[in-house]
Amino acid sequence: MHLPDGLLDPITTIVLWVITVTVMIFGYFRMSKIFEKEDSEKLIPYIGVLGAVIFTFQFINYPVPGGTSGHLIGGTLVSVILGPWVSVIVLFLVLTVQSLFGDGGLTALGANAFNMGIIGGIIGFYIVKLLMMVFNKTKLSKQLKVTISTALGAYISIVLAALLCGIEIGLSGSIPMIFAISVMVYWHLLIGIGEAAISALIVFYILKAKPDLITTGEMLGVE
Amino acid sequence: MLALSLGFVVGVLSSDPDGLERTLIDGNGGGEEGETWIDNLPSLWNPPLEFIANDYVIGTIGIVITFILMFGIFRLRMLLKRKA
Repeated sequence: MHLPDGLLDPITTIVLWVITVTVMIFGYFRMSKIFEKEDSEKLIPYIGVLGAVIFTFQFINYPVPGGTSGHLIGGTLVSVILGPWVSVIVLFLVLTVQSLFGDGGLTALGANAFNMGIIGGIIGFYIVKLLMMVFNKTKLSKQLKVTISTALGAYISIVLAALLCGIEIGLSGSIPMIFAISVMVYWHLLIGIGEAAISALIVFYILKAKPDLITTGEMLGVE
Repeated sequence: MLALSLGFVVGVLSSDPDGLERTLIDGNGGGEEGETWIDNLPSLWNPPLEFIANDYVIGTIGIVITFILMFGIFRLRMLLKRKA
């Protein structure tokens, strides 16, 4: 879902840059929460590794029936691990590195960070939080609640990001709006299954191996 | 996580266009015509590392740059917070 340069019109590009930068500035101040713990210094190399993992996964395309492929976006995954505001900054940095290799444009970076970081990360996180409120009323184990919520949140957020990406392309006049929305959503209904599975597997593994690395337990109501 | 990443590299790589590329290709005549349309989109940005063609080299360099960038920015944020 990496928009290239020259696809979006200037107004759409600028509006999405403004939204993304505003959210990132807000996120910059909000993320200080994760550094409040005494051993928070240990988190920094971990954030570096997580960013590298997201870079790797976004780079690797898995096949989808019909001659198309998909790759992990990772917004919801990062937001469940580190919090919604950090995820926008992590995704923005990953997308910046990718643009150095020509994967996604530089002028389209604001739009890409909006789709993958804000929709995938922040909206994805609040979908997970909403689902956790429902699952917290059940007798499922903590790991299962978070894992299932992450899978569903990642899936819904990816389809939502595809819908908005289709609207952005349609607004820019590159291809007809209805076509852009319907085809983007159709393919991402399939691609989202991979996103959900990978995100859920990683979260489940962390919860089993080192649950304190998930910094959002309190926000999700599992502590 | 690294094991999963490696598994994907070895197992299920696909060179087919992704969902967005497929949408753009199909929306602009399909097949080669659509791919040419994407390749000809105007851009003022010349990606400085685009000359690297090998996927594994791109992956390795990208991982290193991403790690350094993340580590640097978040470390700086923490130091600033402590000073404040």
